[in-house]
Amino acid sequence: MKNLIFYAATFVTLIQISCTKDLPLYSDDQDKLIFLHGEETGSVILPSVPSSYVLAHTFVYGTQNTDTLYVKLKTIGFIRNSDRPIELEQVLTGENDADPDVHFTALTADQYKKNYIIPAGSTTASLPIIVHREASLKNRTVNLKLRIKDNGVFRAGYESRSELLITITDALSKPANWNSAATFYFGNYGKVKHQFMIDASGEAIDEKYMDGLGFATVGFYNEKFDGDYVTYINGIYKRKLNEENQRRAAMTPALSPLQEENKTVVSFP
Amino acid sequence: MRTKIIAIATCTIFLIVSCYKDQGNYEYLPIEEIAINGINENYSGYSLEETISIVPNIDTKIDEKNLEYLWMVYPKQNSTVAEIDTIGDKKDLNYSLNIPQGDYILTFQVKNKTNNYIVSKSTNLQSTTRFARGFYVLKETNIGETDLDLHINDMNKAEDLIIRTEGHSMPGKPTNLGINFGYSFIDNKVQKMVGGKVIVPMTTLEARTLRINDMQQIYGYQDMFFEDKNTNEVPYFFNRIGYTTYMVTSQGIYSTVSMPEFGLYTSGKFGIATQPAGISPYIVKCQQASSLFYFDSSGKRFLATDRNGAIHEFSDDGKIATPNQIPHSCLFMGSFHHSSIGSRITAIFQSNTDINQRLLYSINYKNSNFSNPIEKVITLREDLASSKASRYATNGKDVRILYSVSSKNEIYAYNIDTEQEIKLTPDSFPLDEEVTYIAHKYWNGANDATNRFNYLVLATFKDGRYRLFLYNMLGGQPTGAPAMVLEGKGKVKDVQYALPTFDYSKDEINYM
Repeated sequence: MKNLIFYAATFVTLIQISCTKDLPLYSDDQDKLIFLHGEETGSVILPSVPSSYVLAHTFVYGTQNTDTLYVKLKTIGFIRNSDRPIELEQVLTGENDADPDVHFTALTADQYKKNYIIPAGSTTASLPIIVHREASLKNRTVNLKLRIKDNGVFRAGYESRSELLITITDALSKPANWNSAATFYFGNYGKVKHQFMIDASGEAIDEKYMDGLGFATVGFYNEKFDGDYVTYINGIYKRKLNEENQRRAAMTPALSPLQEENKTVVSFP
Repeated sequence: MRTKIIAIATCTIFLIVSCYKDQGNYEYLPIEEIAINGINENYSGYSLEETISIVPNIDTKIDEKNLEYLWMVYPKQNSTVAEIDTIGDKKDLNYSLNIPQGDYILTFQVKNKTNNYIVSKSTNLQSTTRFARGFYVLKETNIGETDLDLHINDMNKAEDLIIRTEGHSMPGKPTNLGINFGYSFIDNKVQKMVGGKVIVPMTTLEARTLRINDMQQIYGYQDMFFEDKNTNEVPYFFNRIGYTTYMVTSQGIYSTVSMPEFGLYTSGKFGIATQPAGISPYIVKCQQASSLFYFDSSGKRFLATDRNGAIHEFSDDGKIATPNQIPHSCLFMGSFHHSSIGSRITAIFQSNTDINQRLLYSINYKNSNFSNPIEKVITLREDLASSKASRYATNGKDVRILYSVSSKNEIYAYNIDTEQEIKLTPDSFPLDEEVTYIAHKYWNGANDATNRFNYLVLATFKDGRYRLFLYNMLGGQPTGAPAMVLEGKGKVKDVQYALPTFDYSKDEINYM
């Protein structure tokens, strides 16, 4: 019994001495990739609801039949001194999915290959996606959902940043940065309202226009935002909408105030 | 044998474990205290001109060679992380004030080098300019144009600031002098939206925004707006209430919302006049409702803004008098605010049926439901001087008094509550000079006790020169000799007091 107590005490002492945990150095060799959203450059990743970011493209403002979009990616892991290939794959959403080589150049096409890399010594890349104007896009929007494919070099990083939704249309579409801050000034988005704004301003009401007013794709505002100027622009739209509705009322027969397809009357806050 | 080996091994382990040398210091001694004295609560000086000298007393038993000193300065800001500048590492400070105008925290730190024990003391530092404090006088020049004088006190003044900074006075006769202690605008030098204190001289033809600390023009009349202005658009009023800055012209009410004191900036430019558009030069700030109250001369009605600048009409309950369809001509509007009574507005009208009859409207506007705000209408008796006055003013905070100037340049005070009038005879006030201005001006800021004042301000004009008499007040009446008499060329139209310490969160009701 004495021996047992003696051995037990010795064992406990040894366990206590060995309590210090030896933390390993970072040694994960698996490189990973994530999509960057909006204006993110890679040095700053802004918090966002994963599903809220959409890269929207419309052909409506131009005449070209193809266009090139760029999706931005960032690595997680060590910087390497050689080029590393990237592969993307389409995820079918089951709803208005874009067709390869109809709405976009298939992701396996050779013309992408030289661009689908993380260059040596780099942590970010902009990958081209070639999109096509197709007749049916006049009346609908198709979805191209991309995912980072495990190609043995890269795996997808954070789940919330491993997929990216691109919408393609030849009709008006809600600019990605028509966010809740923009809704405060311009109200809820509607296609008739959108067309009215284009007609009233003579400008393309797209991401670039909204960016110029200070609305960010991720978050609310960018550094260009001037509440006084946006309030003034809101006032101009209100004034022109009032004139338009007066013009419609004066017609024979009189037309009702401008409204969306679902009968919601167009208005600005 | 095995037991012995185990026992020896165990002892060896214990021995190894016990090899650690305890290097703890158990000689507990009381820390030598350091007390800093001789630093005042506030310091101020002119930016780029003056030196702040402080000789603190350090009360300690620590050998001076073991002490290390550090002086630091950083902006006093409400929300953003401050950038700290080190301005000295000697005990005594001689600091050339080379920081822009503003409020700062000055911190002195003493460290015992032997144990890194630190004691620090902070104080307020105000970097100001010669334009930051004083009475700005908007005046009509002797050629019928407009200029500004600044009276730093009754000994020091800077005359004709517009001519001196721009080479010529402002065209048009002076109408009003606007002020805003927290205005957001684009600083063209740095192409950035910033905040600052501005003064806005207005004439019958134009207005311009001048930054108080250096008299630099921020915006000309066209630049104040996003759209081109109608050349006939006459500026009436510029001021801030709450977070809203208003510019009122003959076309209506424009507003911007910004909070530069919290780092929320805008360009400060005005867009489209708020509807409905009816307006007149009779506009007052209503502290109780944190909004504007005014008379719409085309619609013949009272209107008011809410806190966000939207315009509201008043309902007509028909109890005392209608706030709409007022047939008379407005001659004057003034406001009063008292912490226990609340805000009241006084409007004087000339009757549309008898030009010799004047009516006093007493208005209690609370911005709750835009119900009829009229609480009393008094027809001023014809024997009262205030029924024929050429000029009016109201007491802003002490007693509900309507001041008036008669055609004989006599000053009267009419108590709106008791409906009694008395003649005022301010000490040393000349009767042979034309009275061109009367107002109640006060500054009651809690953080500026040494500069508070409560004056009845009277301006006279004679032989191309003005005299501005500032009387201390008691019960709404001037008392004693003038606290100051300020003099200059031209004829006074309006007066504003500029001060560097104004804080919108506390001081808005303390300034008039």
